[in-house]
Amino acid sequence: MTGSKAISAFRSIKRGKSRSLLTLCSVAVGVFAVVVISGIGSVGTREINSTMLTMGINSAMVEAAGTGSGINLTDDDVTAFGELKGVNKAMPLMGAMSKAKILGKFLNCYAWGVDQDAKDIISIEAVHGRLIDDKDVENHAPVCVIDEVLAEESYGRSNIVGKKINILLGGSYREFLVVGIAKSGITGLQSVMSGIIPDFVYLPYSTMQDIVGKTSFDKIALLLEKDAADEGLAKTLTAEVNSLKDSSDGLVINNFQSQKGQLTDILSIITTVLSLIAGISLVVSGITVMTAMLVSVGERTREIGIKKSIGAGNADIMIEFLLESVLLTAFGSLIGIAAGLGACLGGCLVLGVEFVLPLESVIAAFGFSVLMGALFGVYPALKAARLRPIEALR
Amino acid sequence: MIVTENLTKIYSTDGGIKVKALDGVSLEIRDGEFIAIVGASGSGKTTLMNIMGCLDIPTEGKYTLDGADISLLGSGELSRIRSRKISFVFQGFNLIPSLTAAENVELPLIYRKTEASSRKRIVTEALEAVGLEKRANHLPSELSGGQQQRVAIARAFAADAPLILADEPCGNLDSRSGTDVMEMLHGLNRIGKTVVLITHDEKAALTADRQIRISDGKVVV
Repeated sequence: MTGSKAISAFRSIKRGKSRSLLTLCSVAVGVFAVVVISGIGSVGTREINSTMLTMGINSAMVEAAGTGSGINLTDDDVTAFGELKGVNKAMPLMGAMSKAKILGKFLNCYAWGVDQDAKDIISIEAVHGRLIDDKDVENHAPVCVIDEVLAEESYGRSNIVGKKINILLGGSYREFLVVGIAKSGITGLQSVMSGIIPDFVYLPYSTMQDIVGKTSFDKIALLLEKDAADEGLAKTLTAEVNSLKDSSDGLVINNFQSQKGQLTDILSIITTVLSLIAGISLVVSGITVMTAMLVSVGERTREIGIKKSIGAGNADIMIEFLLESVLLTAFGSLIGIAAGLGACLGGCLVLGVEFVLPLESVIAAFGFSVLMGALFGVYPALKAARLRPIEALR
Repeated sequence: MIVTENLTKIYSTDGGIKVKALDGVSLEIRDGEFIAIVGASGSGKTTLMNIMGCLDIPTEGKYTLDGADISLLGSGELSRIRSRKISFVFQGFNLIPSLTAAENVELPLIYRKTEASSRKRIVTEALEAVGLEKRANHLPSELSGGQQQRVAIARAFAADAPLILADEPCGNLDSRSGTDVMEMLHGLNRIGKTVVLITHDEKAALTADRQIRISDGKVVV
C-alpha cells in the first residue's frame, strides 16, 4: 500500500522534472554546506588529535602565571624540577618573537632557546642535518635549526644546512649557521603558541641568553614519566614547583594535552556554529519544498478529484503528498551528502590529509532535512487532502 | 437501492446569485437496473449524478443508498462508500495522465486495500474484458479516446462496485466507439451491476431499462 504510494510519489516527482530538480538542488546545497563544514571540522580535529598524540604527550611547561609574578627560572630550578617525582627530564626554554633575514627576505618567526633534550621534550624532529646538541649549548654556538617551511620560503628547498642566516635578537640581526632543518607542523611548542606562529627557529638557549642579556629562563619544559594530562600529576607538580620557588601560585604548568583540548574545543565550537548557520539553509530548503508542493497541489487538483472519485480518502491523498515531499528532501539530501563527502575527500587528497567521515553530522543533516520535508510538506498535503472531490473535478 | 426524496441543490455564484440546480427530485432505482437520466445541457442531470455518486451533498432532501442516509455521513464515510459501492465513467475519461492503463485500472483496488497479488490478476481480467490487454502499459496519451474510455470502464469493472454512474460516456467518442462503450456498460449490467447513464443522447437512452427525464432540475417523467 505504502509502496504503491511511494511509487506514485516518485512518479509525481519525475513528472515535474524542472520543479523537482530545482527543489532537489536547494535541499542538496543546504546539506552539502553542512556536510562540508562538518567534514572540515572532523578532519581538523583528527589532525590535531593525531599530531598531539604523537608529539608532546608526556610533556609539560612550567612558566610564570603572569608577567608580574617576579619569579626567575634558573639552572638550579631546571635541576630541581628534573629531580621531582614523575619527571624524567627538564629543559630550559627561552622564547622571543623575531624575524629571520634569509637571502634578503625578512620572514616572521619565533625563536626558541633549547638544549639537546628538545627532541624528546618538545618533539622536534630533524629532516635534514641535526638538532641542537650539548656542545652547541656549552659553546654558546651561533647555530640554529629552522623550520622546513622557512627554508622553503627563502631558498625554495628544504635542505639549506650549512647556509648562514640572520636572526633578529636583542634589537639587531645576528648571523647563525643552519645546522638542521626541523619538520614543520603542529609540534608541541606550536600548540602552546596556539598555532599563531607558523615558523620556528631553534637556538642553543645559552646563545640566546647571551644575546638578550638574561641569566634566567622564560619557561622550563618537563618530560614526564606518564601522560601529562593526568590531572593528579599536574596538580602535584604545580604545588611542588611553587613550593621549590617559595611561591603559592606564581608558577603554572601547562601540558600539551590541555592545549589539544582547547584547540579541539575551539574547532568544535566553530564547526558547530557554522553547521548551525548552514542548517538555516535546510530550513530555507524546507520552505522551497513547501512552495513546490503547493504548486504541485494546484496543478494536480483534477488528479486529486479523480482519485477521490474512485475511493481515495483524505488520508490516502495526504500520505501521497507527504511522501512526495519527504522523498524530494531525501533525494536532495543524498545528493548533498554525496557531493559534500566528495568535496571533503577531494580536499583531503589535495591537502594530503586523512579523510574522516563525519558520520554523525551526515546522519543529522539527512534526518533534519527529511524532517523539514515532512514538516513543510504537511500544509500542502493537508490542502490536497481537504479538497472537495466535486470542486477538484471541475 | 437508490432512493432520493425531494432532493434539492442550490449553488451560490461568486456574485451571490443562487442557482437551483435540482428542485425536489424524488426517484427510486432498484438494484440491477439500467437507468438513463435524460435531459438537455444544464438541466441538472450531472448535479444529480454527483449527489448519487457521493461527490456532492444535497442542500435539502434525502438521498439513501442501500439504506444509508448519505446526507448524514462525513467525508471519510463518503470516500469509503465511493470506494466500495460506486464506480464512475466520465465523459472526459478522467484517467490519471502519468499512470499507464493498467495502473489506472489498479488505482481503486489500491484505495480498497486489495492485496497486491490479487490486484494484478483483477487488472489483467478487467483489461481483457475491454480488449485492451495489449495496451496495459500505455499511457492515456498514447491511447485513442475510445480506448481511454474502455480503460475507464475496465477501472469500473476492476473496482467491482455494484453501482456504475456513467456521465455522457460516449460524448467524446465517434459512433463506433460509442456503440462499443454502450455495449460494455450493458455487459456490466448483465453481470448484475446497477448502471445509471446520464445522457442527452435519446438513442443511447432508449437502450436503458427505464428513462428518467430531467428538465430545469425537476423530474418530468
